[in-house]
Order: sequence, then C-alpha cells, then structure tokens
Amino acid sequence: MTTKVITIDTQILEKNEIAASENRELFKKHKVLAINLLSSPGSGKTALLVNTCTVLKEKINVSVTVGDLQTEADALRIARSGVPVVQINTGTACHLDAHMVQLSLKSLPLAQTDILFIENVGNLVCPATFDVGEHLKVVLLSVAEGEEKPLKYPPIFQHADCVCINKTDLLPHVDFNLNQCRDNLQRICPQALVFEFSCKTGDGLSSWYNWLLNKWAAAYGEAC
Amino acid sequence: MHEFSIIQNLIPQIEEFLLKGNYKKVNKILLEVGVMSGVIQDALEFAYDICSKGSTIEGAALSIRMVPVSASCEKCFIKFEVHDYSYLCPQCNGTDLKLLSGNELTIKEIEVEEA
Repeated sequence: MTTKVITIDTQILEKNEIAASENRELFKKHKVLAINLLSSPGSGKTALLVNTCTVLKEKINVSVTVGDLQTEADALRIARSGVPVVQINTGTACHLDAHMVQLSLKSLPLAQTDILFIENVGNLVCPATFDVGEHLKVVLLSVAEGEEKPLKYPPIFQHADCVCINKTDLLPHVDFNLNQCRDNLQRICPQALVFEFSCKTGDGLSSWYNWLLNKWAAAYGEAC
Repeated sequence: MHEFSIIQNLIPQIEEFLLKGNYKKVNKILLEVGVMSGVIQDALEFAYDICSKGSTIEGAALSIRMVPVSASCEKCFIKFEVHDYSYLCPQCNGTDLKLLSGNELTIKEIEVEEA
C-alpha cells in the first residue's frame, strides 16, 4: 500500500463560484445591475425594496428575487409596487446561493430588467460566504440593532460596497450612537458608502435612489 | 448552519478526485479557511463528522488551517496582517487597501492510498 500527498488547491465552493460566474455573464448580456441586499431579519430589507421599486420603476426597469425560508409574504409585498418579483423558499437553508438565484432568474424578464435586487435571507453570517453573481453587496442595519453591529459581524460588513442605516425615525426613542456606528463602519469597511434613511418617513432615501441610478449608468454607460 | 452546505460541497469533490485518479481511498484532507470567510472551524469539523459518515471519504482525517487576514496598502505599499478587523494601514492610516488573504475556503491537499 503506497500513499501520496496531492496538492489540489481548489475552492470548496467551486460549483457555487461557477454558477455565480454564469449569473454574471447573464447579467452582462442583458445589461442588468445585480444588487445583493443583506441584513439581519427585521432591519427593513423588504420595506426598502418596496420604497425603492415604487420610485425607481418610473425611471428604470426593476426586478426582484426574494429569499426566505418559508412563505411568499415578502414577494407579495414587493409585487404591490408593480415590479416583477419571484420568491425563493430555501426550506431550511440560511442563505441564498448562486444556483438558487440562477433558477429564479428563469421566472423574471431579465431582458427587460435594468436593476435586479436580490433580497437575501435575513442573516448577517452565512450569506457572506456565498457569491450569488451580484455586482454590489448592500448591507442594511437599523438603529434598533445597536451601533456595535459592524464590529460583531465583520465578515459581511467587510465585503459591503454600501451600508444603509435604516429606521432613523426611531433615533429619539432608542439608545443608538450614530457617530459611533459611523466610526465602527469606517474601521471595518472604510470602502463602503454609507446612507442613513427612514423607510417609514422617506427621509434620506433620495440619495440612495440617485446612487442606484448612477451605478447602473456607470456600469452600462447609459444615462437614466 | 451553512458549514453543512460547505461540507456537502466538499465531499463530492473529493469523491470525484478519487474516481478520476483511481485512488483507493483518502486518508487525510487539509483545508485552508480564511478568518473572514464566515466559516467557524468547530462547526465545520462537526459538520464533517456528521456528513462524511457513509460516504467514500468516511474515516479520512480532516485538518483545517485557519488563514489570517492580511492586506496591502495601495498608498504606501506595505503589507500587513489585519488585527481586530481594523482596516487601516498601520503606517499611513490609509483606507485604500487590497485584501491579500483571509477569505479562503480551499481544498489544499489530500493524502491518498493508491490502488
């Protein structure tokens, strides 16, 4: 019996990386800007998408794919804004992966989509590991969650292109140190652009909308 | 727990490798896991113990090498290890950094028995 050591050097999630690359190619083909929206449960991802889709659809074509363990509740809420939306039920999986997103794209009018939002499962840990083919990672947190959130969950914040602080209307009622949160974000993810808004009142959302439109225009060289 | 998903991706890859190389069995598997990958070593080992039972790789010893986070500064070009998740250049305090390591999820090497 002889043994030998073989160097392999391949990614454990190679299949996911291949599916993510396929998704990227599909997005490139149809000039779609894909945005992976991540947060804890209850930070306001769905509310943000309802607001965003309602406003953005007047200027640009938006589609949404939503991940939850169970129910179509979020998809139904977003559908009322008048954009195409598909629900992924993961069963017990705590994150979306590239293959799940790929399957969902078959039910969306990708050729007529400019911005695709991928609302990930509410979870600040596991989705950080799985590339789904997105161009931008947006991490959402709310003022009800504490200013230490970025320090407690560094991997997901470290990968963020943009961080949104939601529920600013609650600031008078919660012990949330906004300046400390900004400092924490600067420490963990200095590269991330930060928006602060309230999906309840609409305050601060216009900068977020403009950023999205500019990002799409920059990606595909067209004005909105 | 997504460590189970990761092991469920690992096992068929090893099995395919054994099949292609006509190896009798695998004795050891070495993984490299970045500290920022979002994967917990204990949870990965637990998932491996459960998922490898009944598979072709059952009995193979799993070793995990955790890889620290390191970066280089695009301004002053020094390379450094990142501590306490502080993404500032220790020399110039710059924030324009390139991540060099810390996100790995790699099958590094395996020890096999030849047929």
